[in-house]
Amino acid sequence: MPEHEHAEASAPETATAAAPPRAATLSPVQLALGLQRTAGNAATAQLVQRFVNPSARTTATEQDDSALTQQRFTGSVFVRAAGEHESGVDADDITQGQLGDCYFLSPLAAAARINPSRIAHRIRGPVETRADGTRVYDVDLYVGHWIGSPSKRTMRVTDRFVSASGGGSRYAQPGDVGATGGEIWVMLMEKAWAGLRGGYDQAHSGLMSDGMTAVTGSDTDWEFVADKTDAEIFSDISACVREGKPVAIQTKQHFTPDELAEMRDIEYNISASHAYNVAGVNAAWQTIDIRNPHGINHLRDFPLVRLRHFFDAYVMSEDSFR
Amino acid sequence: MTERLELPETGQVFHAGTSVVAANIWERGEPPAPRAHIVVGEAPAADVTTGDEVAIGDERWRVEEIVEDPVNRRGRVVLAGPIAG
Repeated sequence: MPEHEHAEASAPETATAAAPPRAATLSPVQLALGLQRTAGNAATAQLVQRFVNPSARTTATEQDDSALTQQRFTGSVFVRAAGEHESGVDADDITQGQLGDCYFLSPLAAAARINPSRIAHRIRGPVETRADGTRVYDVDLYVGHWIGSPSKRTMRVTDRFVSASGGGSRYAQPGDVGATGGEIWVMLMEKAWAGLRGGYDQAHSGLMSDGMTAVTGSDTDWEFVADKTDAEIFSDISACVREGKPVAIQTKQHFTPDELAEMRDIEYNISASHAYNVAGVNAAWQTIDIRNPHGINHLRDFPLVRLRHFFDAYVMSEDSFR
Repeated sequence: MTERLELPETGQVFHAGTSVVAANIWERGEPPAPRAHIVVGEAPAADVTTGDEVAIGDERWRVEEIVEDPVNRRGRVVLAGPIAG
C-alpha cells in the first residue's frame, strides 16, 4: 500500500471534504508512532487490531438510530427509469441531504457512473422482513488499512431512515419514483456508511479517500492541485476517465475575494469544502464535467484553466471500476 | 407563526420541495462580518449577512444567524420566516 495512505489514516477529519496531511514519505512504523503521539495508545491499539485480526472486521452490524425520528420508506431498492442501466443504479439517483457526507456520495456517484451493476451488487435483500413490515438489507462497504488491501464490511440496515422536520428523508434523498415509492439504494448505502462510522453524526465530514475506498474496495491516490501543472491534472483525470477509475475532487476551504468575484463572473455556484465528482472530460475544449452530489448546481464543462482557483485536491481510485 | 430553517454548511435542505443550500460561510467584507452564500435551486448564490432577506419560492425569509465553524466544518445559517407582507 502506498505510504501516503498511512498519513491519511491519522488525518484529523476537520472538514466536510477534509484535506489529508502532506507527509507522504514516512514508514509505517514512523506513522504508527506519530499516531500514538497524536491520538494516544488506545487509537493506535485499535488501528493495529484492524490488521492483525482481519476476521474482526467482516461481521454484519446493525445500525441503531433509535434516538432519531425515523420513518419507513416503502419504495423499491432500485427503480429503472428511462435511459438507466438495467440495474436501476444511476449516478443521477444521488441527492445529498442535510448530512455533510459529500466525501462519500461523490465517490459513490463516480463509481455508479462507471459500473452501476457493481454498485447494485453491494446491496442484498431484503434478508429479513420483520412483523411490522420493516425490511432489512445487507450492504457491503470496504475499509482501507495501513497494510494490505481494503477489507469488506457487511452492514445490516433497515428501510427506516431519519426523517426531516417537514417529512421526507433528512439525509440522502430517494431516487427515481417507482410503483411503491421512491428508490432507496442511495439511502441504504449512506445508512450503511453511517453505521460503519458509528452513526450519522460521525459520518459528517471526512476524507474523500475513505469514501472512495468504501464504495470501490480499492486503494486511492491523492493528488494536490498545487503540485501539478494544468496539463498534468488534465492528463491524470483523462486517464482515469479512459480507464474507468472513479475520481472525486474537492474545493478549497475558503475562496479569496477575487475568487468569489470570479465565481460570479463565470456564473457557477461553487461551495468551499465540498467534494464533487468527475463525469467526463473534453480534450478539445480542455474542460472537465464536474458533478455536485446535491444533484443540481453541477459544474458542467468547467474550464481547466480555472480549476486551481477553486479546487485543491483530487482522489483517484487505483483500480478500474469496470 | 415564524418558522426557523436551519441550513447546515454544504448540506442540502428541501423547503416545500425547493433545494436550499448554505455555503462559503466565513467572515469577509468591510467591515468584516460573517457572511454566507445562500443558493436556492439553481439561482445564482446570494451573498448574505445577518438581517438580509432571501427569497424561497414566493416566500421571503430573514437571515437570523450565521455560524462559522472552520475547525469542524459544522457551520450553519438559520433563516426565520416566512416574512409576512
